[in-house]
Amino acid sequence: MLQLIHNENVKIYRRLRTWIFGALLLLAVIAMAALTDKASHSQATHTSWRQELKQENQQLQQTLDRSGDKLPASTRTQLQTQINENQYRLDHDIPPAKNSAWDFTNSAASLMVLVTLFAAVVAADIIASEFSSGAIKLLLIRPVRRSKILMAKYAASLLFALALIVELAVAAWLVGGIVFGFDGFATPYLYADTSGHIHQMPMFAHVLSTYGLKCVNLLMIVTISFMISVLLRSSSLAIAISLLLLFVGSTLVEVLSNHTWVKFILFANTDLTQYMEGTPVVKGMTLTFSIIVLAVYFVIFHVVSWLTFTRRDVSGNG
Amino acid sequence: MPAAVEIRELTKTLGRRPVVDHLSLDIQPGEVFGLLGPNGAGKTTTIRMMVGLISITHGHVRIHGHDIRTEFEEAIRHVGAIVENPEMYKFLSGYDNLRLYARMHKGIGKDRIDEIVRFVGLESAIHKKVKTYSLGMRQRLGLAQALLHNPSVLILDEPTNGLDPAGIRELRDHLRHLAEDQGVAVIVSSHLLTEMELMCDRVAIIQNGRLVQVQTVREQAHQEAQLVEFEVDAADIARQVLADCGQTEVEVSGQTLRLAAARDDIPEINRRLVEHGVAVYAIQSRTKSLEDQFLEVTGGGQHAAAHSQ
Repeated sequence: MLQLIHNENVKIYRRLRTWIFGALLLLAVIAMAALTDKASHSQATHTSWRQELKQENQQLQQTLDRSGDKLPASTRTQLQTQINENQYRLDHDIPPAKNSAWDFTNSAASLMVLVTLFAAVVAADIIASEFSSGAIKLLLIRPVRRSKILMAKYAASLLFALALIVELAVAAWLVGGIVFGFDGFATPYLYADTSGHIHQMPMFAHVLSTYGLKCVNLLMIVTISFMISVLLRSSSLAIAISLLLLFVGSTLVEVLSNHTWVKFILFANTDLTQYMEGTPVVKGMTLTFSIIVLAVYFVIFHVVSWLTFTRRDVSGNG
Repeated sequence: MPAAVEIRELTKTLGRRPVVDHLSLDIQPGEVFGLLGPNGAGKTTTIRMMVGLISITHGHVRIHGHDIRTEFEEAIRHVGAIVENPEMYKFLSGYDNLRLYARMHKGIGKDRIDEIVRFVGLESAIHKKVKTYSLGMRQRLGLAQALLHNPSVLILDEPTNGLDPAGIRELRDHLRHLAEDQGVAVIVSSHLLTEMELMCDRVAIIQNGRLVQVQTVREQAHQEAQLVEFEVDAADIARQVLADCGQTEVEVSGQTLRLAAARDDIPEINRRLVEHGVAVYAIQSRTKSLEDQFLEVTGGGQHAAAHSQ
């Protein structure tokens, strides 16, 4: 089995495309650091953070008092949360997080979109390309069961995704550290729960949870792309459909969000951060519900892949 | 001796149309066995079923007694194959391709890879990327991957595609060597008759998915009379000489004499002609070729099938 995974890795990492993906991700991290750096310079002031926060809270409070009833409820909650957070900082003597390696690593988690995109391309290609090139014929006449080959390919797809995540996190930490300094590890992260109360957690745990939650989305996208790769014999079509799903999926959920059945759609559940910060797509959705829905989809994707791949007739024209 | 490959009642139906229809064959170790038939006769489908690439509707294939369906790994272990074109990973070198396949079998080291690369004569190009290979080089690499694990059954689908005449000859020698010296059961398919005649010991003629006939090709009747043509300078004298030694059934056209003679008698006839001062420019034996037999057994039917489609 390890040999099979090794083979699949060879096929992934000997392709130029793979290295282009890696380079693009690195470039994106550097570009993001440069932009963040520029933005922070223009904001730089010399007053102390206590004064700043006090001023900000006064302004916010005034806005709330004066035009509170004209603002939509969500904006009001947002303003109140901000006031609470600032007050918490003043009370507990926690200065606002300034840019640091850790903070930047956390912000760079938004580049997980790129990781997901690249991982989806590789997963969508990994079986379909064997069919479109015809190489599948020489692969399946070895003394290895088809299910093992399928497992090795899935494992290799996930390993590639993992490699990209590690690249992103390490690159973000290094680039962030070089640009903003490596301190900030001790600064706790503050967040508001659904009732607006402020809590704190260690920065490291926060970074891990940010990446962890994005990984759920990544895992589902890789799995669905992998299934599409099994179903289609054309690698370009498989890649196109996977990317279409990736981009249209969440938009579709938003458009349909006033129907209750939308909560059973995969893409309404892939973003688990909706339970940590903010509100779920459809009212009444809970974390447990989403996890169950995701698990069911996950199993279905694998069963479909397995049934198709192990039974398929590998016959002429591709 | 138990058959290396045993095919019984093998049937593949697509929709309601049988592509391969109750085909039964035994292929012995040490023989080169041909599957001959026009395009679309079911040769490739048969081969795909033999190596487990497509499902079997009915019947079975056993390789050294192991059923390809129920004991796939045990059965396919003995098989090396090229199915249609040998498509490999173009972005890898030939050597890296072979390493991929080596990892999927047990106990194939670097030595074995190097040995097989030498055997197929690809030493100079093996570290270049496959996308730079000519079709002939790809065929060589295909043969290398098929032989890598010392299979006792070698299955090659249209192996001469893309080979030049020298390459075809070399392949023929390789196959003969594998069959005779290593006891490999070699199965080749082709729609080219003359090629099969030169390459195979036995040929199964297949048409519309059915086995028409199994024909022994080699050691073809040395004692049997065959049609022989002598091209000479003096047909009249030659005719007289032949009549004197009992050959009366001679047909003359211009400077060519045509008669029935056993293969073993040809040198004797030639000697006599020369003794009597007849210059012999050419001797051609017109064996009743596989082609004649092929057209004989499939001839009419093939046209009928072509028209009905």
